[in-house]
Parts: sequence; C-alpha cells; structure tokens
Amino acid sequence: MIHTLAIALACAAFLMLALSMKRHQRDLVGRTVPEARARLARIAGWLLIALCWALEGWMLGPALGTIVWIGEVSMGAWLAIAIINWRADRPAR
Amino acid sequence: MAARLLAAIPANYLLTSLATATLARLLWRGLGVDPANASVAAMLASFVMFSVLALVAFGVRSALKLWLWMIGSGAVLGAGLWLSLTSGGRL
Amino acid sequence: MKDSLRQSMALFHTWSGLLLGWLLFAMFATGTAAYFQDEITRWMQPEVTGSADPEASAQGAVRYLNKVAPDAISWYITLPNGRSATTQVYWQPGDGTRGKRGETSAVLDQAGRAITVRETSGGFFLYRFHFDLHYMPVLWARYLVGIAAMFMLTAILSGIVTHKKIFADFFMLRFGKGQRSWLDAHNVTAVIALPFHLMITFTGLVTLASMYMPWGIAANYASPSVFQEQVFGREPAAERSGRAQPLVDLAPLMRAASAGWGGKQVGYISVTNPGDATARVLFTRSPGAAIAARGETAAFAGATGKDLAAHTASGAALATESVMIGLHTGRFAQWGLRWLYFLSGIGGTVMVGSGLVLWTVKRRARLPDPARPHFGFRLVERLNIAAIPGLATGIAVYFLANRLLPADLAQRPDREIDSLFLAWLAVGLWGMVRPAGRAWTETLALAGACFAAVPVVNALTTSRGFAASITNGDWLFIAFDLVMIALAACFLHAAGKVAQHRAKKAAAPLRRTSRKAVSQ
Repeated sequence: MIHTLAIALACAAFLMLALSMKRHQRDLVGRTVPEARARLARIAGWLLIALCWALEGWMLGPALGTIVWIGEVSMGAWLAIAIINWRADRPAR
Repeated sequence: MAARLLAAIPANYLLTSLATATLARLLWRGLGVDPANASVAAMLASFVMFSVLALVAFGVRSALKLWLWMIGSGAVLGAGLWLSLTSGGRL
Repeated sequence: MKDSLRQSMALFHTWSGLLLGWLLFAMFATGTAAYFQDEITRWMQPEVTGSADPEASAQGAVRYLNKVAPDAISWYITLPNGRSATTQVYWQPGDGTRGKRGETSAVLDQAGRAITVRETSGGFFLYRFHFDLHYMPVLWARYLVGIAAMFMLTAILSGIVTHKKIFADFFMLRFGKGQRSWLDAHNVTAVIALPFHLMITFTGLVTLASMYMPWGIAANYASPSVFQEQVFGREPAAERSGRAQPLVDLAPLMRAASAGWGGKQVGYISVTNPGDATARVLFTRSPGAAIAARGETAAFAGATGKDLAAHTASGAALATESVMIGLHTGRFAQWGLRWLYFLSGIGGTVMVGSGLVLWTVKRRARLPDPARPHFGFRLVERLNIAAIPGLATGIAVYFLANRLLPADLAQRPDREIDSLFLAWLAVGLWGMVRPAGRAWTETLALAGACFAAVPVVNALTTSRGFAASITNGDWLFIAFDLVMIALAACFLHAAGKVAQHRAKKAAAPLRRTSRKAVSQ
C-alpha cells in the first residue's frame, strides 16, 4: 500500500519536473507555462521526491527506507515517461 | 589502440593489485586499522580504482604519457609494498 | 579533444558491451529470476504445501539426524522461513568421506520426516547459474563472470561520462518510435534504473571480491585461512571426546539467540560433534531479518546449553562489505521491495538485450549490401538469437520439464537442467539455419509459446492449477502463472512486431531508403 502511494508521488514528481521544462509543456498541458509557474513546478517536483524519501525513511528507517525509495523513484520515472509518451502521441490523432 | 587496451586491462590490473596491497598494508601498519578491516577496505576500493583507471586509459590524450605515469606509480607502490613487507611480516 | 574522448569511450562501450553482452544477458536474466528462487523452488515442488514453524522444524531436524547420522562430524540445518516450508539438512559423515549428493542431505517437513517430493534443483539452479554457469569448472565460470561484471561497471561509467546529455533529455525518451526505438529502449532502461545498475554491478563484484582481488588480504595475511578464521570465526572442530551425551533441546537456545539479536530469527544451525560431550551448536541469523548478508552468530555448548562467547567480526569495512552483499542478494527484502528488485532486474535484462540488438540495427543501415551481410555481422545476429529467445525458451522448458519428466526418474534434477540447455541449443541451431529475420520471429514466438504452456501444463499435471489457486488463495501459484503469462505476452508481442517490421520492409524497400537519405 505504502509502495503504491510512494510510486504515485514519485510519478507526480517527475511529471512536475517535466512540466517545468519548456519543450514538454505543450505535450503535457497543450500550452506553454509562464516562467514563475514553471519554477514552482520544479520546486514542487523536487519537494515531492524528498517527501517520498522522508516518508519511507520514517516508515522503514533510514537504511531500508533509502533502498526502497530508490526503487520507487525508478518505478515512478517509468510511469511518468509512459504518461508523457501517451500525451505526446495524442495531438497527432 | 593496442597500447591503450594493454594499459586499460592487464597493466591496470597489475597496478590496481599493487595499490590494493599497499593500501591494505598502509591501513594496518600505518594507520592502525585492524588487519581484516584494512584488507577488506582496500579490496572494496580496488574496484573503484580499476574502473576509473580503465576509463582514464581510454580518455587521456597521449598513450606514451599514460604508460610512463603507470610505470612510475607502479614502481613507487611496488617499492612501498616491498619496504612494508620486509619491515613487518604477515599474519 | 572532447570529441576524441567521447569517441574512444563510445567505442569502448560498444565493443566491450558486445563481447560480454551475451554472458551479461544470461547473468541478468537468471539473476533476476533468482530474486524469487525460494518461490520458484516451491512452485517446482508442488507437493509441499503450507508453512512450517522454525522451532518445531529444528527439533524435527535433530530427531531425523539423530537417527540417520548420529556419528557425523557435523550437521547443517537450514530452517524454513516465511518463503519456504521445508527444512534442508546436510551432514558430514563421521568416516570423513564426502558422500554423494542425496546420500548426505535431505529435505524434511516440520516433524522431521524426509519428504518424498519430486527431486529438483528448483530456483537454486538459476541462482547458481547466475555466477557459476554450468558444464564448466566453477572457478573458470566465476572469473568469466567477474570479467563481465567489471566490463559492465566500466561500460556504465563510460556511458555516464559520454552521454551526460541523456539526463537533460530524460523526458524525451520515447517508446516504439521507428528507427530510434531500440536506442530509446536501451536508454530508457539504462537511465531509469541507473542507481540499480550501478549498485547491482558493484555489489556483484564485491560478493566474489576475495577471488578477483585477493591481494588486499594477501598483503596482510600469509594464508587466507587465517583471515577467514578472524572474520568468520570458524574454529577447527574439537576432537570427539568419546563420552556420549545427548544434545539439549534446541528450541530454548534458539529463543535465547534470537533475543540476543533484538528478536531477529535464527536461519541456520550447525552442530559439530553431535551426540558427544564436546558438541557445539552455532546459530546464524536468518538472512531475511536484516540487510547485512553476514548474519550474527551465537554459539552454545551442545551438551549443556551453556552460552559460549561467539566470535563476531566487526569493523566499518567488514560491515560495509556485508551490507553490499546483502543489497545484491536482496534476501532481506519483503514482498514489495522484492518485486521492485525483480522489475529492476527485468529492466537490466532488457537493457543488455536491447544493447545487443542495437549493435546490429545500427550496422545494418551501413552495410554495403544489406541482403548479404558480412560474416561478423551474421555471427552477431545469430548469437543474439541464441542468447535472447534461446535462453528464454530454455528457462520455460526448465519449468515444463519439471512437470513433465517422470517423478522417479534417476538423477531428475540433472535431467531438468539438461532440458534447459537442450532447448537453448536447439533454438541456437535453429537460428543458424534459418534466414535471420524469420528466425527472430519464429524463436520469439516459440519462447512465448513455451511460457504460455507453463500454466497450462501445470494445471493439467498438478492439482494446483490457476483456478484452484484462485479458490485457495494460493498467491504464490497465482503470481507464478501470471508472470508466465506476462512473459508469454511480451515474447509473442515482440514476435508480432518483428514480423510486421519485416512485412513493411519487404513491401517498401525503396521508400525506406529514400526517406533515410532525406533524414540524413
């Protein structure tokens, strides 16, 4: 359960990071995002990744928590890339 | 290319082995770490050293300089190891 | 200069990857399966059900060994845990001979009765193949595997050095987009699981470090056995006194040992000089109870139950080594993390496999005459077929053989292993004689079909088919079937993709070349 939540958080974090980069904004939300918002998204993305680590560290202890966190962040990245791929495909249709 | 390959693999292994042995001696005899931990610490470090050296062997501009540098450090490490082994024995 | 550095690194990455890629692929694939080695063994012994209590199992094992090997030099007992339900015992006969396999070992149930299950090497074989290979001396195999791992480590580092751009282009990675798709598959799997790849390769080297880099130990110790004594506390066994004295009940001792480790369970027991006044019992902590691989130990006098101060090696470097080995083997991992390990391992397998295919894809475009490639190209292409669908088919056939070979076949475990390699060899030969494109489709489809057959054959030959597993809530068997079906789907999908690609290529060879000319 906790894994699912953490992977979802990590995925959201990567989507935020993608949203903060100019060349992905059109794919994700269909328009460009103002610089201030982009910066906010970048901060939110990193914060979410840190939050995941804090969550696992708190639940499982620093050693095991860090290991689990790395695995979950990788899975979150997979999901995020899949979502970006899916969104990037849509306008073509 | 052949000179680099030789440097990156067999010569690298020799040099890394020398460095590992010397480091193990240094940690134990020089810095007072217990011999088991000194040996294992040197062993763990050796893999980092080998892979970095392999990359350096392909990355540096001059193969000649690379070889001179490797032979030089090998001689220094070998001398240090020999001195250390003659001054105090092994368990 | 920058460019030449990049170039030489790229060259190094390509060729070292190609030379050792086939071996690395097999290591990754079987190593990934080995994260579930206990579960695979349970699947391969469908007669064993339920779970067992460690304390009762220890007592049962002692009863069995007292009957079968009362005068042994030593007993070794591997207790059941959350993942396995059987006790494995092994003994060193008193006359000093090394008995044949099966004569000095047994698989027991909780009550200490030898269970007559179909004999199999189970998941253990896949685990051992991962670093010992097969049909060759173990020593050679381990050196080969070590060389491959070292190359992998340098290939990863050179990849990071040369392709820093990959991180900036992280979100540009695309699935299944024409010509770039192989490159992207390689990159996606490499970049996303980079921490895993680095960790698994480095810690893999550490597991066999004293073989690959013995000079650190040799510098301080004239003989490696002195080092081992210091670290593992292996004391030479005391002479038997000849005064018979029965072994005390192990259950209270287990509880005492466990209490000394903050409640972590006992995983292994060894007893030297059982039944003698000099008997010594050594408990080792269960590998599932903590990350570090080298478990804590506790020693007791076997005749009196007196606590003997156990030797425990300590120190930062030893602890680091132990944690690294633990991280590699993942024995500490609970279900969620174990699946993450498994998925990361699949990612690594795909990374190596796609890298191998990439080598041919990149060069095919540059061939002077694509219809008749030169020998080296053909060789790589054929070896790729042998390595990727070949090994996959072999593993599926290994599972099928477990269900289909007669239960009382002589040397059954070896026959199961032989069928894996026969299937692998057959696919390899098939790839040699067929046209390469067609061979890819056929062998991928064959691998898919073999994986798809596993749940079917399981349902037909045991009472633990998919439907029965669902009604019984037998999660291990459900998950095994589902993984087989998922693998089958992936291989069949890949076979379909290759067939589609070939059909397109055959239909429009002209259009393809002209478009490529434009894009370049």
